[in-house]
Amino acid sequence: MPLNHVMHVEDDPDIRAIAELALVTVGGLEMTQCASGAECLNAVSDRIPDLVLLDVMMPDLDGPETLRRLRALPGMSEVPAVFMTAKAQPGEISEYQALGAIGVIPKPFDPLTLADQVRDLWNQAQPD
Amino acid sequence: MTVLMQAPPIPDNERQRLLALNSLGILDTPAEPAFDRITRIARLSLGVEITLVSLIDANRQWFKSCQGLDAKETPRTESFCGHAILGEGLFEITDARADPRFADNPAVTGEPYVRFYAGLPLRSRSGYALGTLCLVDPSPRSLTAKERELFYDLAGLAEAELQRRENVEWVQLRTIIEGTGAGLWEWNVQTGATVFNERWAEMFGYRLSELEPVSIHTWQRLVHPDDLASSEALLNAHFNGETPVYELACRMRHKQGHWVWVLDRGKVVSWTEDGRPEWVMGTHMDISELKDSEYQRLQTDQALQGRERLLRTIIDNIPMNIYVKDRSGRKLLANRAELDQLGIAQEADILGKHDRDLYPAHLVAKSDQEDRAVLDRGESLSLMENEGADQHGQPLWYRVSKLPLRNQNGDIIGLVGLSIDVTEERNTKHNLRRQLQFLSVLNDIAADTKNSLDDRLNQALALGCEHLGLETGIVSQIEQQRYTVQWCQAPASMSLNPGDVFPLGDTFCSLVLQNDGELVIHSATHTPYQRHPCHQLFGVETYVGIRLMVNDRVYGTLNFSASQRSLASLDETDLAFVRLLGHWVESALERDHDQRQLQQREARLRVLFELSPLGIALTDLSTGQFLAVNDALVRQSGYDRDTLMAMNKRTLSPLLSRLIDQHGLRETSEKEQIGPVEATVKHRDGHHYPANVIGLKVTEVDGTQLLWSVYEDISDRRRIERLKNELVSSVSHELRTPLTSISGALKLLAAGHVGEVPEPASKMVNVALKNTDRLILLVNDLLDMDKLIAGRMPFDMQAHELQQLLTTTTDNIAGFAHLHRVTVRCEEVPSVSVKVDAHRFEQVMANLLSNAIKYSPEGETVTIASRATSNSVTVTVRDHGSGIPEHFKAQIFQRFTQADNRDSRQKGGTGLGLAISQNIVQKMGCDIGFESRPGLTEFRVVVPRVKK
Repeated sequence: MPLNHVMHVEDDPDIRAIAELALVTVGGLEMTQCASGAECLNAVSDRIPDLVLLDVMMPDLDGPETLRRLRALPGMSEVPAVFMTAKAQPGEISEYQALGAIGVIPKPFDPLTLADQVRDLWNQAQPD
Repeated sequence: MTVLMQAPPIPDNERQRLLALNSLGILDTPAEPAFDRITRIARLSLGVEITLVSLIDANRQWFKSCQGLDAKETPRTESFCGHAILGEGLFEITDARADPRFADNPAVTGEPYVRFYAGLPLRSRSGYALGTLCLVDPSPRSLTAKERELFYDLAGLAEAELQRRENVEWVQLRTIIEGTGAGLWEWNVQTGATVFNERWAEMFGYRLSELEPVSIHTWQRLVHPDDLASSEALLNAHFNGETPVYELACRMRHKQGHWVWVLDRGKVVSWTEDGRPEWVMGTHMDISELKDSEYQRLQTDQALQGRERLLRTIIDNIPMNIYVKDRSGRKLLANRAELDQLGIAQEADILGKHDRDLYPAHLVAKSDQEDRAVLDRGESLSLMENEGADQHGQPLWYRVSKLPLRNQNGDIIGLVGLSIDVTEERNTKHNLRRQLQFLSVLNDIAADTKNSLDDRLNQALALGCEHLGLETGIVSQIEQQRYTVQWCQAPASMSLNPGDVFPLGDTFCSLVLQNDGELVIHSATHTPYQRHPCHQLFGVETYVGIRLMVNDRVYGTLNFSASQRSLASLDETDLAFVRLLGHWVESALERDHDQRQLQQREARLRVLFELSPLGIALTDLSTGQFLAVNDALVRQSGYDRDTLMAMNKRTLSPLLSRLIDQHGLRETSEKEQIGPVEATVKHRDGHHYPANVIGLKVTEVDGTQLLWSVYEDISDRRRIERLKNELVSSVSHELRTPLTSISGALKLLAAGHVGEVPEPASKMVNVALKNTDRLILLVNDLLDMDKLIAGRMPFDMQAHELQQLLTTTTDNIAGFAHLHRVTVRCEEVPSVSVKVDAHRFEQVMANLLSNAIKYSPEGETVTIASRATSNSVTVTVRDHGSGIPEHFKAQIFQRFTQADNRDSRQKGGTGLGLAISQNIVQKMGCDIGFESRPGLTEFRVVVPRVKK
């Protein structure tokens, strides 16, 4: 099953705009965007996304905490998650992976290839 | 059959026989024709091989003439002739081998193989057989009657020849002397050979045989050593013809040890051809028994006269007065010293006089009393110290002894007086006692540590004034021409006070400095000193002053003075005293000076100690108790000083105490310093703060072990470090978020995803994009560096195929290379695995490659070459750029460096790349290096291999 719907959680509106262009316009994906973890937790009740793309550093609920809570929601326990972070380090990556993340994309990301990166991670995570 | 050679027996008259033989003086003389003619005739006419004139000496037979034999002499024990002289007539052996007395005689068994022997004794006039004329042949035979007759005739000739040499007078003389019972001696002056008769030996209690072998030394050993010289003198006089006989009374040691007086008389009886005395013959007469003989009396008289002269000489030259008085007190004897002291020239002028005629009346009474004690009661008075007077009436002191003089019956007939002048000794003693007294006072002052320097110096000056009998004492300081009174003792009327200043020239002290540092003026009046301002202005009459040197520089003077001439004149002792006092003043001033300097130095150090921003503590190592703490440590630790001082080092910093123990800074340890180490210190409020601590062990003079410790509170430094790290980290993160937007937006814009961008605008977008990339790189590098330095960059070390790693690297850099129109070529990679963090390795390679590309001219090639050894692989990145400037090579791996500051703008990059690369490489256990010259630069990374 090809990746179709991505939920993007990011507090910075500029980055949300870039990401939207990168994934929708350049990447041709369908996308829901949330400005905070809380918003995301609400949004998933409307529609379960194929993949959640989470910023790590956010006020109130940060990325990892949001994911932990998402996992508790119905239908969300198995949805692949990818973190985006400005402080990606191998130690942190393994920490995120322990939370069930399938990958980490460091910031700044390349908007021209972002969709490909997400797709690659998605494909790798699909059971054969 | 065993045969034993028989030595010839010694004849009964051997002594006389030898005397007779010796008196011939023929032994050991050269051959003479008279004897040789006889032996030659005997040999020819009697048909034997060997003929000899043999003389039998004490232990040998000596050949005066010898035909057919080379020997000059043979042992008497082996001689045939020794046998021959025993008989009256012919001694004939027809075959010596058949005769048991001679069969094993060496002359028979060996050369000259004697078989036949015939010998006839040759006698002296007095009938002693001295030797033989003998015939020897190696064949057995016997003499015919005719031959015997001839042999007897020849022997007669030989005997006559011998007897011709006998001194008839001498022989007769000896015979006579032997009869008198005198000891007889004969001495060959030239050879030292000596003969004594038995009587000679008897005289000294010996048998002659006990003294043998005898020589002139036998006599020399026995004679009294004191008599040897006179003996020699008398002998020489006789030899020189000055005396007809040699005559001497001398002492000889008896066997029992006592001395025997002998009268030794002698006369030369033969002379050598050149006129030297040869044989001397003489007698010894025992004269010990002749006690009253003229000779001895003469000796005694001489001795007595000599002894009296000797005694008189001694008495006159002895350095003490000696006199003898009779019972009524009249002088009977006075020696030279006594006469000199009384001023009397001759002894005769004093004899018969009484003390009252000679001494002042006040002295006589006591002397009379003493005399009576000696004369009436027989007391011996010794070593009294009495007063006396010299010829001018000046008092003198004597040590006197008076002893009773007794006659043979023991009655006291007078007295002997002995006295020694001890005036000088007494004065010296007196002075010494006075000096000792002052020294002890001075010593008390010197040892006084309770009183101040001022007190002690004033005391010393007072002491000096008292000792010298002078009224004023001053310690002055002299600077240039200024004379300042520092300490003084003076009569109130003088109103002299410390701090008074005078021109140096107005003081006698100016002369002290010119005058070797010492000056004594007994009395200035009527001397050149009279015109000196010191006398004129201040009326100083008597003065003694010395220079004071403090720390090798002139300080001033110590001086004592008086306006009146002092009663006792100043002498050498007084000057010595002032010198001594001066030395003490000098050392007291020096100590004071040193102490001040020490205090000053200590004060300076204390300021340093107290103002130091670092906490400092002095601790007793054995107890851990604080001995001193400074303000900084008080502040740092939060305690007040008293609480801190009462604490133990272990309470303040248990960790430090442990460290100290671990570092072995204990009393027995040799180690002197610990640290700097990081320890935590317990603050008063309970929290622990980090401190850098340095400890230094010092050993006090008394052996106490102390520890200086310096505490640097590093909590601030820690906080700042943390802040800096947080700042770098958060700034980097904060920068990345906007950079993400800017970079993303620009990329989308440049790629035309948000619509066509006009040509000039597209150019600007690219400029913006390029600089955004640089900013991102810079932020990434900063973060990397920060992590590397803080040790927070994790490394995931795994085995990787080198081929794989290099392929990834070249793929990643391809775009960048293309942009710079540079080709990257990877040479064949050996099939090896290396253990690295792949990501970090690729980062290093990317850095090296991007540098190589940036600095390569367009169209050039950058090469990656790999070479494996058994343990490692070297990966080389080679370019053909301009090379690294020489001056820059040393700092190429430092942070924020680029060869040309403009490079960062032209070439891109942050200047952190190589620093980060080197750091990463080292952290991975690899190595990085380079070589560069214009046109060729190579960077090498050496990576450890993983064995498959």
